[in-house]
Amino acid sequence: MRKHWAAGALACALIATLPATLVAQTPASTTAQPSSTDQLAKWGLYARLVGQTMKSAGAEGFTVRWRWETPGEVLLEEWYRGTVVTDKPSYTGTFRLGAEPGTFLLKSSAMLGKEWLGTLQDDGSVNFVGKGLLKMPFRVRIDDQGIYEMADAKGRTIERYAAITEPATPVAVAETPSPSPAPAPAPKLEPVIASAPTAPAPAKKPAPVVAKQAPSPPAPPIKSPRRLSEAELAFIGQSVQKSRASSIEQARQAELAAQEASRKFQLEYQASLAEYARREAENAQAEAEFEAERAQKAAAWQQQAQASEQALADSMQRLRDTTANIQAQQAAAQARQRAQADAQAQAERQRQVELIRQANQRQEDEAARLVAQRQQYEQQRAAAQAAETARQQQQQRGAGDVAGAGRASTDTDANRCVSGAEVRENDTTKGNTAAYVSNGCGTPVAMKICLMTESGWKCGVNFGVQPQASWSFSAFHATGPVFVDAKPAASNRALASP
Amino acid sequence: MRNKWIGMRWLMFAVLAWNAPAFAAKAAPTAAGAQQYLAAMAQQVTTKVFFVDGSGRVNYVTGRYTGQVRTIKGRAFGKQKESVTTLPEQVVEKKVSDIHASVLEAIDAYGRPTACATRITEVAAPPYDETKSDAGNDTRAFSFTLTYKDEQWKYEPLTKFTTPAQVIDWSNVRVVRVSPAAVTVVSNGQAFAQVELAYFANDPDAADQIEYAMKFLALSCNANAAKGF
Repeated sequence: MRKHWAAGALACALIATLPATLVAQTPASTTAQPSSTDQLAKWGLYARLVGQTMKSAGAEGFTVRWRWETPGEVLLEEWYRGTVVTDKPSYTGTFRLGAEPGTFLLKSSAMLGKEWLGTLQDDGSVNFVGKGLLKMPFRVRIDDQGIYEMADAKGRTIERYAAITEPATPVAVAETPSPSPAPAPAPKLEPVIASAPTAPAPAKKPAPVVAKQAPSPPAPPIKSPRRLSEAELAFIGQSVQKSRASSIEQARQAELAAQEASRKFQLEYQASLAEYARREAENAQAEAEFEAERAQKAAAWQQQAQASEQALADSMQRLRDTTANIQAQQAAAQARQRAQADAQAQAERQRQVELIRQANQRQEDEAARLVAQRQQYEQQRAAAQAAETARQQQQQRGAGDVAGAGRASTDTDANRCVSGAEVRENDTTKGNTAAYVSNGCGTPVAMKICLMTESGWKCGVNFGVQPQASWSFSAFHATGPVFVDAKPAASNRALASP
Repeated sequence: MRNKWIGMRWLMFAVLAWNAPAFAAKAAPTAAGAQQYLAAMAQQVTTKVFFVDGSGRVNYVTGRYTGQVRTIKGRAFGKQKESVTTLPEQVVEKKVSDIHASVLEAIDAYGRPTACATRITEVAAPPYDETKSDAGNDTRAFSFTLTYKDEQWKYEPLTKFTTPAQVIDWSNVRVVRVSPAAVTVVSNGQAFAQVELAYFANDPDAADQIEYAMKFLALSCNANAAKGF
């Protein structure tokens, strides 16, 4: 809408001066001048424009001329299409001073006599706002080159006009108090090179120049309407009636066509619906068949899957059973092996115990033999008691040796009455080797077992292995060699070390 | 008020014209009255104007597409970074769909008042420049990117159709009753190959009066008219 209003401003600026009729145009004197400097101040830029004729800066456009209709009271702004100033302007704007100082009333000869109210601004420009609903604001000013410029409300230039005749100076307006109008100077009919504008344009600035234009082709004569006869008026009425009837018939035909189209559309739509329903049914049937087939396949697959799963479960169960059987068999085998090993160990222990017992028996027999022998020696000493002191001493020393041997055998017998070390791997702890030794003596013994390992000998001592009891010592990474030392539990001898 | 009175007077005449030719003759309708009636009706009923150029394009305007993208990138810690990218300009075009005449004047192409021409002095249309704004937000764990895109499609103003104003020359027009309630006058334009001015009346009777006024002007202004309209 703003753009449109900008365009409207252009239109209003031009239309502002359109005459409603040319009848009222009465060429008046353009030489009448206001009579005082007050008038100059009141009329603002229009005091400078009086007597000037300007041409649009564009290639086409209007020529505008300002002249007094009533000096100091009524100013005419006459617009001529093209560059030719005739005695009948195309449009005219009539300016009068407003009730308030610095205001103007502009009445257009166009738009049914539309009026604008102009207000003189501080910068010398004049802002116009239309009366009534259509404001159509625009602004005019004279720039520093003497160009008469029209702009819209936003300051955008609509048109520029440069002088093509010698302007009347404001001074002349002020200094010519002649109340009687003088004949207006004849306007130049052909485009000419513009003369320099009046102040305040700088004197050294080049004067605005309007290019010399080729004369526009003459406008065709204005067409005027002719008076119509009664028959022609009747013909128009009949034509309108006919046209109306025709348009109604066309509308009816169009309506019928639309109805027919609608009916066809409905039929086609119904047919489409039926076709759609048929296809839907077919699709549904196909879908149902497909679904049934799919369900059947799914059931078969499910059955197969269940069978497979059952087979797999059975297979797994069999595998588990087999594994369990194997494990049971392995356990049984291990148990048998352990039982056999235990039996063998027991037998070995029993054998060793028997050997120990036999050794003890032999020792006891030897001791008895020695006792008997000592008794024999005692008897012999008693027999040769007095005579052979040295011999007795020797015999006594020999008896002491026998006694010492008996003591020694007591200490050393502990090693005789214990079984040899039985070395075997620990069943429950991998890499662990245990040496089992049984006490075959009749009394408790202290026992020391040493196992050679990768890091050296590892020894353990038990000071109270009961008779017929077994004790073991274990170590990791045993390399094989075993050392065993035993002594009676009551003995003060220190257990030996490897 | 004056226009209204003129319109009413013309309406009365138009109604009576073909119902009572004798009275019509006495009433002496004028082309100037028809002009004023059509100008007044343009304010009362819906009108549309179609400016057809030499290529057959209707109400054709060209314009320029511009736009820019403003991007703001930032992290959870640290300063934000803003950049502006100007989108490449493009030439765009469109058809302004709804141009209606708001001021009609009995002035010919040379600016001279005459009842045999109607100048489409002022037209109006809903705003047809376009703008579009988009915003995007890409937020992640430790960074974010905000994007603002502004686009504009700015076309020639409506002054394209009124500078110079197009004029209907009633000596060479075609009046078409496009529907019971709509009448269109087709004329050669000046800057445009063809100008069509359509009135969409509220009822067929009003359309009759408009058509009567148009045909009255056409017949009045064309001495050689074959009355074929």
